[in-house]
Amino acid sequence: MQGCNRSQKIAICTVGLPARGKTYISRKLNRYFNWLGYKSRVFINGNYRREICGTECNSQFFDPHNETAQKARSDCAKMALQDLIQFLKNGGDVGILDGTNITRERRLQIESDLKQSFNGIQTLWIESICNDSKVIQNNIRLTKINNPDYCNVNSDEATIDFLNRIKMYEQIYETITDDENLSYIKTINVGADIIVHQVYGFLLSKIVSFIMNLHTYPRPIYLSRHGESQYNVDDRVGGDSDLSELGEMYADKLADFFFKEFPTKETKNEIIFFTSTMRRAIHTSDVVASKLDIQPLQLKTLDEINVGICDGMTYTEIAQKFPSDFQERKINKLGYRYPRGESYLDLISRIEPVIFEIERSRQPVMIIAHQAILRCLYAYFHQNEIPEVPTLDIPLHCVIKLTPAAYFCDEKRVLINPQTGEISIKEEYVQEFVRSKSKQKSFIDL
Amino acid sequence: MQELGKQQKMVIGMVGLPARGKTYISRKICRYLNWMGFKSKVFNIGNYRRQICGTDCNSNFFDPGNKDASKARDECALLALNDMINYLRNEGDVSLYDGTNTTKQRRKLIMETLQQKFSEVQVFWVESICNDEDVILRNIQLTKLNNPDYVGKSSDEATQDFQQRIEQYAKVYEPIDMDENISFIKIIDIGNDIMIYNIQGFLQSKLVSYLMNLHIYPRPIYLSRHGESQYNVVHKVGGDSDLTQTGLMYAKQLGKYFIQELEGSRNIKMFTSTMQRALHTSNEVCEFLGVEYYSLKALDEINPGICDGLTYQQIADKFPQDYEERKMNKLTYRYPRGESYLDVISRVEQIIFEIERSRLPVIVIAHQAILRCLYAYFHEHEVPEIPKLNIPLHQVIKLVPAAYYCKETRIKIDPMTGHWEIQDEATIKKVKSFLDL
Repeated sequence: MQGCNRSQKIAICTVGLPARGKTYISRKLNRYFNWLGYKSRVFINGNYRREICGTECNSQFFDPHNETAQKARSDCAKMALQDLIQFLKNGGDVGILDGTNITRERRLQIESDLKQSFNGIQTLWIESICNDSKVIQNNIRLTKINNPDYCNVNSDEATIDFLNRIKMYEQIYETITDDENLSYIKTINVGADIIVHQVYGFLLSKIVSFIMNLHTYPRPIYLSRHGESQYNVDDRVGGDSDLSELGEMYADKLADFFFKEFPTKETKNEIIFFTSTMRRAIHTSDVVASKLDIQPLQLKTLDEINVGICDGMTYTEIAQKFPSDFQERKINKLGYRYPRGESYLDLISRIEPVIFEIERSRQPVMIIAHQAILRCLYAYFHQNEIPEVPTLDIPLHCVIKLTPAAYFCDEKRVLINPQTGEISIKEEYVQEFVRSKSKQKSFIDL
Repeated sequence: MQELGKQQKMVIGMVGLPARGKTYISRKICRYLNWMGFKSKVFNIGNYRRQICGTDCNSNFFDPGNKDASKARDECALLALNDMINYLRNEGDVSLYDGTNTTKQRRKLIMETLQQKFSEVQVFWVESICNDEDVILRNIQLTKLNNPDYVGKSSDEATQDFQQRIEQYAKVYEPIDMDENISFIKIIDIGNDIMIYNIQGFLQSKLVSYLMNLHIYPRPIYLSRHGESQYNVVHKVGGDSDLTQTGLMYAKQLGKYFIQELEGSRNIKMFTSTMQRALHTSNEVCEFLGVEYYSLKALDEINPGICDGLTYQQIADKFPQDYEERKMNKLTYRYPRGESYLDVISRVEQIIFEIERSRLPVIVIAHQAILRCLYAYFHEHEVPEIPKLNIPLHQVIKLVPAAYYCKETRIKIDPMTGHWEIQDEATIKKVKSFLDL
């Protein structure tokens, strides 16, 4: 629901020992807010420290008794906070401060700085607590070892040093207590236990729901359009046309593809399968469903964008009949609303419950839907900017497999020739950390 | 989306001392679940106790040392549990077990009984904790004094006895502990603090979101349709027609009504749709009030698809089959290329959350089908009744949701004269017998 309560600024600050998923949570929240239409940004303490103090910092740097290092780290933290405040002053809606913030003193200082800089700012503290050593080891392996701090060190040494760094922090860790008078959410062991204290307001209650459903299971999301439809052949928009012959062939080949992807009965039964209520999607899904012996859920929320009065026309006809609308749409494809129809922004709002469901799921998700809808879904998980949504490339007869992970999203495009069944694959691994060691700037851009 | 949750039956157990809002919360949850399409029912242990042990029970009956009484109360709890299981076995999706359930032993008994008799059921506990004496006293006054247990007693006597009853329970109260290994949400001081543990599945997750938005501020909700539109005059459905002169006059009178009703306050939330007739009505009202509105596509009228712009007569002529089908099943019938009432209910869910959450008065200026859904939710109508509810033009419906009922007032505004006619619905009618709760 964009547009509700935009006037209030919101600052979110993380709390927790290293390797507790603070950056993960910050990034996910940041993605979610930007998606909802809020201007949001993350300010990572660690990045400021790396820029200013350099990256050759072993665990001794984090010793609380190391006074010079302490001062340097404190200065870096202040800079991050100042930048956040500036961001909110210059039109930002939500600022997220990603840092350990494990002492009461630090938290109270930040809270006081924020409240002084703004009248009526809402602040929220999110503390991530984890006692499960397996989870921590996994976090370290996945996200820290490729971190610029350890670019000259082998992975065993890096792990040991990092564990020592955590011990330094543990010496002075003070968990948030009620008498600090902060609005907070504590998430314990990846959401198994959540404690919410004095959290009010539209956005804040949305955040709690969002965090409740976060997880780090790397489950795949398969997106495909329906097979070619009659209207596709005629280049018409809207309508509820059926599949063309080629489209039916695609449905068959798609079913074969999924049959191979999910070889056992257990894996098949795990799939969460959504489609729309439009003929072309239902018929494509039915072929897949029958081959895999599973049932798709038909959701009206996945129906294609409603083109209102332009329903059934070709783009040429639209250009002739409604020339000013045609122009307007070219200039602002994102916000332009078809008369009696929808805009891309309406779509983004409409599909939010589906996005929530997908985020929540720990099982593979399969969606057979339409171009505009898939542009929105793809953009969300692949972390594209909203203005890019209307022009993203989601071709017919192609399965896009997304595997969102901690800081990046793997993508694999499987183009299936409907006639021959021939498959050609394009893979894209975007691991922002694993760049050449000299290109540290990319890490800062996180 | 509700299909996602249908796979499993669920039992929701309430926990908490008396006068902590357990029945209020159970009723709200039950309302929300039925709304979403899950057949739900509340089983109130107090009612079983009243039926079996009679209503002449003073606080000594609740003394944990009173062995006979304890045995009787345990039996009542098990009876309620059995009825609950039968309900789930037959037609129900979710049962709510509304009782104090304040000891670990009782909760364990329930878990074990459920495992034995009905192993595929999901169990979820909601504990309400309140330490604010004022809130507790107000709860007692609002909901306990009219209770059959205190018929014929003065309100002071009743309050005192009830407070003693609470003390009896407090003697043995054990709040839910994590080592009990159950899924739960603890709501402390009406949502000031919330603890969530081991939530599993679609439905539990939605319930937690829902519960976080609840409060007990008795704020009013005003529902009104747009003023009369061009299409209304010619009896056409759909379209995006504008207001007629009469409609415009209504909009102005509506503005005047709100100025008086809200006593010049601007602390309100106003929602409307993106359709001309609603926007123009809202514009007029906002001119008077000096507030802004939120224009949401989710409040647009039901989409009649291929029947857009036709009169009912024309629909009957052109699409006789569809016309018949809709008459028979107005709730689920989906206009080709359009929507059904069920689709609208789904669409309107986010607005319901917004309204629930709001502690300020809410004004919604929208359309007939949309308001039927909103009205039905707050006024606790059954879902199948929705398509026939009476929501006429030029009328404001004021709803004030309270603990166990919803007070309704209808204000008919004459667009020409600006004259108001107030119809106060008998609020007693909804409370009925306490036993029906």
